[in-house]
Amino acid sequence: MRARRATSTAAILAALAVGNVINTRLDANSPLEPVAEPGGVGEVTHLTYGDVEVTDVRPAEYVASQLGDELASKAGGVYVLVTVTVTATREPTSFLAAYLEDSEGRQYRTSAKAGCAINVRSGTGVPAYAVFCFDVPPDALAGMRFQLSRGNLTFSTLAGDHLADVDLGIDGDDEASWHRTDAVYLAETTSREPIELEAVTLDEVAP
Amino acid sequence: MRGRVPGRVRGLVARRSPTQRLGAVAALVVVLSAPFGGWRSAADQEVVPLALDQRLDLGPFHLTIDSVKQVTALPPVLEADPDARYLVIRTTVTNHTDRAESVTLAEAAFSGDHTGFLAWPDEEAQLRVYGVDDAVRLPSGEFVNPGITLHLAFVLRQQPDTDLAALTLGVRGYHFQEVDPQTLDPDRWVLDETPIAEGHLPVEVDA
Repeated sequence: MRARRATSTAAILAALAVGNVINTRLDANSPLEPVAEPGGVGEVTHLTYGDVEVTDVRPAEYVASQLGDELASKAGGVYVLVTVTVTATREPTSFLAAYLEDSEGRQYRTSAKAGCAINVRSGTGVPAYAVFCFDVPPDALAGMRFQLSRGNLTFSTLAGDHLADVDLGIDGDDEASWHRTDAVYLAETTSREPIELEAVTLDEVAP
Repeated sequence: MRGRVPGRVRGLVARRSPTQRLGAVAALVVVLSAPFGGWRSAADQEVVPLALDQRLDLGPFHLTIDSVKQVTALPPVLEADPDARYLVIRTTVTNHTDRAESVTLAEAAFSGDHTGFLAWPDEEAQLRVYGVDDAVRLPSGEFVNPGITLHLAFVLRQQPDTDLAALTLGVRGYHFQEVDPQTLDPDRWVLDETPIAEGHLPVEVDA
């Protein structure tokens, strides 16, 4: 009887120890890495569920609201405006995860206050157009890549998803000139028609 | 000889009071919790007096309070309200991590006493957050990207007769929780209970 109790206790402790090793050493909580599909500006990147094409990339100091009486949003660093066409190829698809990633692997999120798109949805075979705006430090621009995938609304992870990984073609010279940009564009979100960014001039508001 | 040791243990346990037995069980649980992090000590944190131009490391951000001012209006975003004043805490906030962090982390770091707090009409937020450089209100879904520095104004609505000499502010930091076995929310910042810094700051009054 005593031997059976000792055996049960030892088995429980062993199970706890093994569980702890699995959790800590094998890093069972880490999410699956996404599968990146490389591409470039002006090229269509084919994913298993849709096509992604970056059609335009440009810097801005301000992004102005479409509503004339609202204030324009100023970047803390430089706004990078990425114009994209997406087409779902298998079923209506939401592309929820849009990021920039720099040459050191740091991820940048879209700016909510800029008023641009934060995601885009396409019907099967029906192109959708979007402009994503990112506030990025000027010294991180060179080598920046745009990443787009379906993502996950609940956990904000890419969990093994197929992901468009588009080199934006920003080199050191671009970085130096984009640093000093004073461009202002009207904010755009998503559309069923191709989007042309509109440069505007700001009116000063009396304090 | 082997059989005498458990006998001694049983005798020893039998001579203990229920309180002593409970204490022994608790001690055993603590000992057994060591491999699972039970011995991890809470960091001793010293609360320093809050001061202007003092850079505080919140965990996700470096935050410096540049000025504190009470105003009757904050054009062009807040009109004068005869029933209220606005306490404007101007700050410099830098994301020094390698990932985008929610601006709500900076907002939630603030606490205060004798603030004369008045609720904002039709909203739950205690503080409104505006960009100092563009006067644009930051939406709650806004993220500060890595390496970005923003000048932010945290605005508290307060009673006109608030005793500004008695007003104190506190700033709390965060600790990073990489793994939380009890939830599916890893890699998140958890607000500390103890402030990093607290105290009275000089409040300029703009009549």
